Amino acid sequence: MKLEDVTVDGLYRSFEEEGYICEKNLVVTVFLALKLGKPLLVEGAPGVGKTEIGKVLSRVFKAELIRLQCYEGLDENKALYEWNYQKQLLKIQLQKEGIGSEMAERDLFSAEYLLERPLLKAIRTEEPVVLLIDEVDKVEEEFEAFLFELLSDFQVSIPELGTLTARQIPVVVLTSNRERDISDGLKRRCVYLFIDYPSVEKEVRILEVKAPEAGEKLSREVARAVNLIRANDGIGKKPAISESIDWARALVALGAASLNQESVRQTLNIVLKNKEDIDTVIREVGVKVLAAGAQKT
Amino acid sequence: MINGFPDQVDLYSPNTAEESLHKLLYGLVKFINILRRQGTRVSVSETRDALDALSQVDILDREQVKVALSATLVKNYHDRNTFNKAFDDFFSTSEIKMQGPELTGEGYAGEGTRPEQAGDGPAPANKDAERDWGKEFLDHARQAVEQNEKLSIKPGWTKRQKKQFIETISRMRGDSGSPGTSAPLARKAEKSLDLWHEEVKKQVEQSGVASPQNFNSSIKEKLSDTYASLVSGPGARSDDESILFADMKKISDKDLPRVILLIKKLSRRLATRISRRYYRKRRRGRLDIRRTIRKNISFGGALIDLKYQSKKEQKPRLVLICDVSGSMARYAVFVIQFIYGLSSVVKGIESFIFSEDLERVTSHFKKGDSFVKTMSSLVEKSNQWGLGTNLHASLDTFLEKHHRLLSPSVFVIIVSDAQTIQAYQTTSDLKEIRSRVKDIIWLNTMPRADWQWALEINEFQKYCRMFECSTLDQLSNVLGNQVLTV
Repeated sequence: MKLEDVTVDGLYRSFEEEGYICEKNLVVTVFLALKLGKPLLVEGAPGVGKTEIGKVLSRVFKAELIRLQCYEGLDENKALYEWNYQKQLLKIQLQKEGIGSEMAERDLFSAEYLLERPLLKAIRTEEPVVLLIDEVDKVEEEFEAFLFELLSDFQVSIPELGTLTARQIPVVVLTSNRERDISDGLKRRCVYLFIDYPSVEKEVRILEVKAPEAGEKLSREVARAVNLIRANDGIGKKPAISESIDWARALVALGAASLNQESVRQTLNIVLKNKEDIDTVIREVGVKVLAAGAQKT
Repeated sequence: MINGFPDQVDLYSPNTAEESLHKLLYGLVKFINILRRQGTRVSVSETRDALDALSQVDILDREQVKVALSATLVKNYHDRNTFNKAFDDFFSTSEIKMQGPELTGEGYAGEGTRPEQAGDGPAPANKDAERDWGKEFLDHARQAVEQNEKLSIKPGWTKRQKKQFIETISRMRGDSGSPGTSAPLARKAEKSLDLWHEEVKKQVEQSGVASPQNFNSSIKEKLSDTYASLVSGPGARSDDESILFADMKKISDKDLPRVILLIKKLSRRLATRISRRYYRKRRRGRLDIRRTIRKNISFGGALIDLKYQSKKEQKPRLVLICDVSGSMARYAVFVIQFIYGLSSVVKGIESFIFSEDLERVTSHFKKGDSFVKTMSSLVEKSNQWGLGTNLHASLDTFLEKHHRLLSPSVFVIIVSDAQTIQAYQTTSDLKEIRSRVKDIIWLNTMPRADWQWALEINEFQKYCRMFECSTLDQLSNVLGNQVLTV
């Protein structure tokens, strides 16, 4: 699919074809971000499919995915560009030895000695790309401010080279787990999408696509049980969609035809990853209720 | 606000394309004003984005309109419910009410949308009629654009604004989308405004306001009130959010289990943040000679890549001094619980309660009991809950018996409404403590607007940073932004 030909229905179909099951509203928001040429800021709990949107878009548009994984302490040198000091030094040494050709100082700060990091690469490449800036809530506010210029004008300033403008406008997806609030300035430049945990029906569809071996019945039981677990606010880390999928696969591996008390006990650690949460669910929901809730028709 | 946009539009004569288009914009701007009144921050650029977004979706599809406005105007998790309520009220409720025969006149012919269908877009049977209506509407618009490029463009608009406006109109009239796209939205906005205008007009007439000027100013106020009431009713915020923004004193006992969970969630969120901040890598300290030489050996000894000593970030140490006098006891329970939730990452929180004198309660939190049990034993054994307030005596006790806790890495957090006797002496105590700690953060449960009437607060503020803190949201923000990020 080409970016200029994108329609809501076409995008929805493409997402489904790529195995990304979602409501149409989500696709409309993605469509708007593409049409308005604005970055898409996706927020939501861990494991609801935020990062996957970037990956799916790159497959839909057959564009290269350039990913910038954010972390505390990420700075321009790691995200945008760095000078290739070794190469510059080597050139100077060669010059001293009289081996290299004549050169001026400015030649040392030319594109030849520039190491492109993900952000620069995304705007300098000729081909369409999808730029995924993952977990942007982990960077410091100073770096966020630096992103402003890039995301509003799609250009960056490099002191030695001047302003570099994008050769094409990349599709930009930013994700955030809401560990801290993103600044208003950055939000203002984006189209906003919040993804919640899926409904039972939606999760059943996801399981049917991602773990078809589980079958409709087991998928539904897993989806219901996970839904019950997520409804409990007392647990620290609610199960992600990938953990539901793992749970369904684990049950299949154990040969369990349905989610009963025994299979819940055996496999609860697949879907809950710390003891405190497992204890909480057993205490406050109960294995019996979980199994019964899963099989409720 | 869009530059050059009229303050008032005559809502009773939608005869020209210019006015109709104005009404579409006016309706959108009014809707945005509703959001703003509810605390959602919407900038001018976002308003423009919303207009652009509307031109890209099928406006006959109500859900798409909602998503388009939501994606461009609402960028905060907590504002989503407010938006949903405001949208449903603005684009649906009025329409339902509009089904009276008196307003189904010229321009609205062929409607007849049943109330139960309103809000879900037009009934299928009426779609053609609506598209015809829209087509006619847009034909007028196109003619107006072709005849006069100054359509709806006010003196003072920049070239870019004019261009953008014309492009938007062009997209809306179907050049790049389905035909007749903007009309229903314009009409919906119009109808909503008409209804409110009518209601307000009646109210104003009843109140005896006669002159047009008075009418216009009154109408603005009344409309604003109407908007506010539309979105302040039940359901405007989710349950958790109601608690988050409610005065802690007013949280009822039945909500306590949810409050406990919410506090746990909030404190965990802050705790995750602080636990990650071990080093400030980007702050340059002194040059690290050893690492620099090692790094640059590969460059033949030329110092190209300089390495700096990274400063290990100290997790803040907290001393909490919490007022548990009669007026403060309710707040104290929540604040102590919040601090308790942070104790997993902020080492050695020292907690004190006071009313007429000070009591150290840190030991109660070290037993490993559940919070509820801890608090009940604390209240049972303490002599301070519910008495009068003497902060001076309490701080004197603190300085006398616990001064060793004070160090330059310590934050002292005082939670109190500042209603204390011996205020002058209290100021001296604060000065003494301030000189020995990193900062004093005062969480004041008294509304900020009332601070000006309490003279002692001005004095206290010389030695501490004071923040209004009567809701869990404020508490979480102050601790997150003032204590845990330094």
